[in-house]
Amino acid sequence: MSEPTGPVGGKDLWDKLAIVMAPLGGLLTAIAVGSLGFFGSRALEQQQSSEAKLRLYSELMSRREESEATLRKEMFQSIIGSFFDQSASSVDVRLLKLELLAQNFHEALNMTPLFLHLRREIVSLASTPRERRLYEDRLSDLAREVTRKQMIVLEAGGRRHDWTVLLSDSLLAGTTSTQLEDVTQTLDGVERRFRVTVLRADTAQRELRIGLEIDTKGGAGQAEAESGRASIEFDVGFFSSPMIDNTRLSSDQRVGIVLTDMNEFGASLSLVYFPGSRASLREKPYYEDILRKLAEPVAP
Amino acid sequence: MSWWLIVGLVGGEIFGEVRFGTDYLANTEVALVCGSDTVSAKTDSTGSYRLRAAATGKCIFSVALKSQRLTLDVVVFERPTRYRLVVEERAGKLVLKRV
Repeated sequence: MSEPTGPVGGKDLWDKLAIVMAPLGGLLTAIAVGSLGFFGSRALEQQQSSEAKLRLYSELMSRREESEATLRKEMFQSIIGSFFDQSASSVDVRLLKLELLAQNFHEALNMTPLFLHLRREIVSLASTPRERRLYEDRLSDLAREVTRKQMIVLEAGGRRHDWTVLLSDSLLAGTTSTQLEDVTQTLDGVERRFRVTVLRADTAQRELRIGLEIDTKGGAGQAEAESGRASIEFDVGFFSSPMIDNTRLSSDQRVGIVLTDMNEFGASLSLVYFPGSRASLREKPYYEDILRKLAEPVAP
Repeated sequence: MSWWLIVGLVGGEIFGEVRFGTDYLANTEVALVCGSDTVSAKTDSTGSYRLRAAATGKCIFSVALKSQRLTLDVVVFERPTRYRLVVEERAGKLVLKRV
């Protein structure tokens, strides 16, 4: 009887490999599972850490805003309360209070009625003409400083155009009007043409009667209904502040006309076209505009 | 004497920059004529200028460009006023305007 050839009772190369690899495979599996757990938990930890940092940051910011809001509220109540207490203060002190209000709250509060009220008080003041003029200058300087600050903010996020208006006798008398050169500006893909007509000029009150025509072109990504023409008339003077006293346009945009300077010879007039996000804190965008912005694709 | 006449005797200043299209006009002669008074200067390397008039009121600003003198009516106020100016070509003619 012949015996079988080949490894008898012994193991071939594959068997030996299988013996060696069996524990190695287990080891590698253990390493893989361990690594997965390690890196997974590390990524999770990092995510939790960044979330915690974000939470802390937003908490700190909201606390800071809250304390600022409380401080501003108390300050506002104190100043405005004492401002209307006629018996307690002179025009000089009331001017100081108005300066405090204007410097701190010009982005949230329409100061125009207060400016006009104080100007009426100054005009009816029983004092020398020189003193009255000093008060008037101080008041108009304050109003122009507020406008200047607002213009810097609005211009940074929008477009500006300046005109020089030469005052003629007929314009001062209100018998003729002056149409300024049309200006076309594009902001966030919305192109508009602005036509400004000076209808009347009052050098005593330092005011201009303005006719503003806005022609919106239907551009790409712009609703058909938004294109069209609109016209308005209003007075503009040193006490008009563009951040608050402006014209609301479609696509959450605004336009304001500012009288930057005026004398008996002429006036310097500016148009500022800006996004609604730069407008006064008290102004809220319309819900349609918010929804439209949310639906817009995020820029890379 | 009215208040306005007093103001008219006070000097004023205009400043700003001049450009031709998108290019700022460097080292270019600019002048301001207010009545019989003329002040002139040259723009700096960034196209900026500053001119001080002896009185406030209506004046004529001019800029010398391509052997032409382009003019624009301006008003000089008691306070310094910024005039951002641009030269544009319209129907083959150069025009100076405020922007």
